[in-house]
Amino acid sequence: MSASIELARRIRSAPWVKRLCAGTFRPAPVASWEVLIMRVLFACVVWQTMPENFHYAEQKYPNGIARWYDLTWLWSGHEYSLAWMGIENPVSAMEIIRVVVAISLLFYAAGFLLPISLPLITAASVIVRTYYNSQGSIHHGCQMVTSILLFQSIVVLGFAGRRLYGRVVAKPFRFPEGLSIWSYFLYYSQGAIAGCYVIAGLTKIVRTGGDWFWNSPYMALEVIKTEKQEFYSTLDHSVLGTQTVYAEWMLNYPNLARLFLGAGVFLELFAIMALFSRSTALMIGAGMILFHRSVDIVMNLHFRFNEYAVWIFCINLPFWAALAMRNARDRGLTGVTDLPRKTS
Amino acid sequence: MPSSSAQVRVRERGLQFLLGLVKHPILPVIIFTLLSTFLHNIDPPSKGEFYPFSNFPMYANPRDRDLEYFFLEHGDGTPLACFGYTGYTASGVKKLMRSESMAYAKANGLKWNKKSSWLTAEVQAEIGTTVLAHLRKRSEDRATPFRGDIALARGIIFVNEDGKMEDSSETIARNSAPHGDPASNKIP
Repeated sequence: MSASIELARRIRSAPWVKRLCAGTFRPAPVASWEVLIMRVLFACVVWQTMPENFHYAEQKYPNGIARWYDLTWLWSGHEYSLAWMGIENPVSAMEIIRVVVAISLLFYAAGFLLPISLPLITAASVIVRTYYNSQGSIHHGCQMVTSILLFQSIVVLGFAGRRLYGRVVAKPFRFPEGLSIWSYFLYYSQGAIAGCYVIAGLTKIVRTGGDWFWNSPYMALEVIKTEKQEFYSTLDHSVLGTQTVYAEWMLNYPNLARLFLGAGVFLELFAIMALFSRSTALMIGAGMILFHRSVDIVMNLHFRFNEYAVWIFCINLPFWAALAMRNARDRGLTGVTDLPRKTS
Repeated sequence: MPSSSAQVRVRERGLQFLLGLVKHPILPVIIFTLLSTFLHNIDPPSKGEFYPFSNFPMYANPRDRDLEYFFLEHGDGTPLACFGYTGYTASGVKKLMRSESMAYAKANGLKWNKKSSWLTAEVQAEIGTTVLAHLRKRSEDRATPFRGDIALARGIIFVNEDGKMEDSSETIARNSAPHGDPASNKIP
């Protein structure tokens, strides 16, 4: 008994455990170079979510804001004259949106005029992906990217408003010590990512009353269904039979299937821990990448934008690389939060 | 009374926790999470989807039940690669069937769910016919029109008595080529 108490005491006093428990669930100091890298990488991700054109002339199954606003003006068949700007050829709405988004993303990456550029990008993302999802087939690959943009826009506009209000009442707004707008920017970007995973986990619990874990071996049927759907989309014979081995394994070893699949749902439910500290963000992020890679292998389902977002905002390799280099220089005497944080 | 003072203490702590939560920066994340998860309760017509908010219903209810999927066929019953013509994957066609059955329920004053008793084979064939017309129009909008007749097939995957997975499929709806175009979609 005393030996186990001693072991627990030693574990508690271990530096890595102390580091892991040193979180607050609050925004932490962030270096401006870290966020610069994040913005550049995320701008590339956002650009990839923008389609070049829309062949949909109608929105037969309106979703989101399309229930109130007709978005068929996005159809590439509609062309608009920009002769007043000296542009001879008529252009489609998507071409205009892509130019606006491209310019806004450059400003976003550089960190200039964010209260204007970020809401523009967010609005474009919402409008474009809403129209895409208003065709009767809802795609879940871009919600996380738009949610991150939405949170970032609220942060940027919120603090711009508070600064403005501070000027009006002659009481300048100041961030808490050590924090900057980038602290909140990163915190809520991670919050959007964590939120999406928790939602997916909660839905499984709410829909089945917790029976999901017991019934999880029946995911085998879903695996086969996904394989069939993949085949009938393109008639690519190479996909046939690739997932069968995993499906049969789930039915033959139901308890092991429950263990592995249940672990994935637990990871989703506890994704909120990514907001606790940088260390937990790294751990949850690594877990999520492993989760997505497993889903990719077993079900041939890809969520590449989600993975990119996790790499950028949760795993945040540049920070850990910089910390490792500094620790190597200082012979490991530096703590996780000791990296110089030059805030803008 | 000791019990009432304990109750007061618990209530005060609860109130303090709530006040702390209201001021805590994590609150917007919690609101976002709960709003999205219970979106179908807050806004029933949304069925849990209001971009970018979603309750992410994929694979949320694995059960020992027949699982259906849909795919396109040529008029002669051989499979047809739907993605190249319409931009819809077979998964998209299934979602389209779901959306169209919701629209059917709304138009006929019926309550929709996956196991609705009104969703008989005849009704599904009617919905399938509408979906095929929509897919043909989509293929024309994309300038990759179907040539010849097309059909919609419904596949079923199930676990048999021996615990093995099996699947079967049947054609449920057809769509004739406009103006009796006899050309086939098949690549010679």
